[in-house]
Amino acid sequence: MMLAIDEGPVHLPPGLFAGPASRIIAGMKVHANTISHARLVALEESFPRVLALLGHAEFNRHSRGFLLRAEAVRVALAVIGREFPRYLSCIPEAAFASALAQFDWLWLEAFRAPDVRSLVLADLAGIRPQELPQIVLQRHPATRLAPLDDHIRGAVGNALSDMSDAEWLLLVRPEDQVRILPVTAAMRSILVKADFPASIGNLLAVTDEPGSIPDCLPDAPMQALIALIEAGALREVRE
Amino acid sequence: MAKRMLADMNYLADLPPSGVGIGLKPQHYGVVLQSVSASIPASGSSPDWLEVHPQNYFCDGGAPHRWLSAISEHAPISFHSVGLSLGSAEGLNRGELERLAALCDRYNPALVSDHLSWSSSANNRYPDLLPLPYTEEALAHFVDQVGRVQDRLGRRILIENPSRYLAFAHEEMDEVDFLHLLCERSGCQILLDINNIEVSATNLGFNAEALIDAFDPALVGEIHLAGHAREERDDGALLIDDHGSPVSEVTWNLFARFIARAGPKPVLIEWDTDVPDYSVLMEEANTARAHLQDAGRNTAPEIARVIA
Repeated sequence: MMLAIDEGPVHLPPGLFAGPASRIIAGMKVHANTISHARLVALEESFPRVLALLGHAEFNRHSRGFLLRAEAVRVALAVIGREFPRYLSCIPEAAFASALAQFDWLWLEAFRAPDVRSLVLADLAGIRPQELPQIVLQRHPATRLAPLDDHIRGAVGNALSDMSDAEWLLLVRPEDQVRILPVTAAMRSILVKADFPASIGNLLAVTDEPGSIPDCLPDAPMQALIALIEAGALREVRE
Repeated sequence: MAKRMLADMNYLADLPPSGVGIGLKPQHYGVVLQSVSASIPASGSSPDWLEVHPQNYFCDGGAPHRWLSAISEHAPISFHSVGLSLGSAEGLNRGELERLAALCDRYNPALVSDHLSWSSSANNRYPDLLPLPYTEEALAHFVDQVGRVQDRLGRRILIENPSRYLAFAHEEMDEVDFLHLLCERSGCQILLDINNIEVSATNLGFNAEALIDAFDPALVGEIHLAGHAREERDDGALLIDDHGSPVSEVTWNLFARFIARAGPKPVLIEWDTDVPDYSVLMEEANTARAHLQDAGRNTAPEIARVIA
């Protein structure tokens, strides 16, 4: 029966079902259509901005192509779109949408992330200045970084101010709703370091290592850290 | 958990026997919370309980959990699982079971149910409820799988009768006998979906009233009512269980027939496709309430005990 659902009624074992062939085919079609529809809807709901960009017909065409891949249908509906951005990047006429697809997926990850209390500035208010560098922080589990391209800018730009110089976007979810913010190079540098628990002292250190902030103004790291805390992008790690 | 232990549990369902619930949908979170938390709710304005697909809450956090937590403080919640795939030859989906167990620990739902079906193989996941043959071999396997779930969750579960579009050629018993034996051997109970009775009877040429009359009311712990789509074909109508429309007249009549014999049971209005306004769901719920009140006047009251 599984082979018939996956590849068509020619694979239906004779004598498996009772009744006329026309009703058996009709019944199999109901199941096949239900399965196909559920998978396609799951992709539409996972990638709303890509759907808006491509239009329904084009999105549907690429979705159906994606679902022909065995690995796509081995996972639960909730994560069926996990490899869709990478799939789009390999299709010449759809590669332009892959970054936006990745953005949509990161938004979903942020939306579904665990509820963890984010660090707020008030948490640091009573701490002595000489103790601040020892405080250990880490990315909040909902925090995501997404590279910004023209399609993402078009999809979310109207909701954001101060986007002109941004090359990356920050997705955070300190409360119920996912928020999208432009990030500076200094903010991104801190977030990369905060992938694992790191002290404030280490997060603020500016180094000559590759990927560090070029021509960094003296107070840029502190401003970036404050901005990240205000955005709800970090959490305190206690032993 | 042995059937004897379940029978000895004397477990009383937390759902009111005459209670009518609706499926909780994200677009209705706000109005549902408002209605179930009102100190003096207007008559017929709020459901007695809510049902969710637990798979929609397998995410680690976020808005869905905040809403469900808030609503669950004011109304009982029931979990209607769609992902355990109890009928799979390879056995149920253990990852899904663990996530379901964690969710049950978090929310302590009044009832937990799944389906007489399968939806995954060793390699693929099929987002549908696929049929299994009613044979002794399949029954033994399903009894074992239900037992594993009940052991893991520490509670009795309900199994829903399916909507059928296909009948296996070599079945050894009918669906009612299969479900009754499943209850007897595993200690589970039946979630009686009356729309599914109409769909299966129409598609496979059974007498729907005879089918409804065959169910033992003592084994039914919950009732589902839903709508379906109809496709007219040269070889007869094909009903498709899409949960996308009001309950049909035939299903209302079958419901009335069953509860006239069984007495009031917890009832859920299921509407999962093209979900309408909350007010439309409540209209359906209030129609169900009217039927339950009529049944209550005419039969001896039955406590909705989840006991075999």
